Amino acid sequence: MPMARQSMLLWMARPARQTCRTMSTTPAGVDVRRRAMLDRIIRVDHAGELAADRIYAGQMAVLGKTATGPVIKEMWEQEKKHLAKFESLLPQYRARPSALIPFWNIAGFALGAGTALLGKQAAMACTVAVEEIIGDHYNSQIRELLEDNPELHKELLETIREFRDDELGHLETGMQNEAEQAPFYKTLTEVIKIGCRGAVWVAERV
Amino acid sequence: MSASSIRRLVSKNLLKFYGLSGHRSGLQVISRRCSTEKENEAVHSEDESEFFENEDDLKKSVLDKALAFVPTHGWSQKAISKGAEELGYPGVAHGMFTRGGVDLALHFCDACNQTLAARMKTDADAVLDAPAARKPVRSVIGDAVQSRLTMIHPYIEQWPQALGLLVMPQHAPESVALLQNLVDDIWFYAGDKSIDVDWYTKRLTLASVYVSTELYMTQDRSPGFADTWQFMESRIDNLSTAGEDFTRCSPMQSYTKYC
Repeated sequence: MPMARQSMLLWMARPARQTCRTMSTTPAGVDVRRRAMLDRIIRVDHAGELAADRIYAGQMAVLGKTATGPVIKEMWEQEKKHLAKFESLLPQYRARPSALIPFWNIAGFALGAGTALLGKQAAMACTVAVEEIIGDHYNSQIRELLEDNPELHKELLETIREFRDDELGHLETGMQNEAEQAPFYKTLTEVIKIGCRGAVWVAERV
Repeated sequence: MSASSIRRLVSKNLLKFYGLSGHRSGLQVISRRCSTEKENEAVHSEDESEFFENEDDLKKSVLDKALAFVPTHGWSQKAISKGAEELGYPGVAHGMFTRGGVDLALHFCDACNQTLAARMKTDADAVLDAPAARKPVRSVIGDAVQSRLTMIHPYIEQWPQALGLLVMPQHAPESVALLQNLVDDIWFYAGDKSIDVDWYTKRLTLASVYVSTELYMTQDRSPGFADTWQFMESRIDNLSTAGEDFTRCSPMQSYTKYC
């Protein structure tokens, strides 16, 4: 049946609907897109919490023995809890950690110590800038997870919501501790915000 | 119903219509070609058992069958052809696999990875129930690499050909992804919980152990591949020694300790 043969050849020559690539590298039953999303979320959050932990460590190294010490210490303790949580979530979700962990480690410490050297107000301005970005970032993740499947991601959503509230609490603390009286407050916070956004972008990918 | 879903339905059934339904006359076949989506659905339920849920399942079963012909025909289009005929499709069905033998080799690697992952998962679950039976990480990894390499034995004569296909630059992204899946599975089920650069070094070094042992195995003529396993053990030994030395003199170590 030549006609049938011809049609079959036509069908074979059609554009690929699904490439062999997804077929050959994906275990059955795993939603590739969802897995990639969770992988990205856990990776960037872990890197972010690590950097936050280092920022407060840097601030403590400079301001630890001043009157502001206890305020920073309190926030640092919360960040340590966040970090520990994401350290346990990484293997749980089988997410790949950021390859730039050593860099986030050093950069975070440098940012914390650097702003603390400019004075207590600058350290608080740094906190305000960083926590504002982190708050936004957590909010957009919450939106993304809700959009995907609120039931499935219930546990993760609760974690992120709780952490977001903590981070926004730190923002408040920063404001109450004269962040706005820092030298060049506007410029300083803008520069830090741009840096944070860039870091989030990179950590989601690398 | 969108155009793409109609196409999916049609493509699902076309193979069946044109290739293999010996009992259908040519005229029936031609009329089938003009069949609407509704008819397709009716036909679909008519002999459901012979249809595959989707194109991927069909492809996978063709490739599974084709593996039996690898020892005679190598990793080639011919083997795929034979596999398709085995399933009752015409030999030209190899046209579904535009890259021929590479698709077959990639499918084989993927299937082996999944078998190994399933096996390691069972072992890991068993350890959860009886923690006393926990094996040291080193032997979990050694066993995993060994059992994964053992899966290649039926095709060992043709394996150099498959390796040649897999390392071609245009196929490298996929074969590297499969290798990464493999080492990631092994480390995961071995209980690795690393959260920093270790994650990368562990996977890279295990991949290097796997690949070098695989290459060694293709040339190994010793009975039961005894030399290969010895080679693998010493590669893993090297790694543990290197790992210890590295940790001992790592500047990061002291940095993280004091910060």
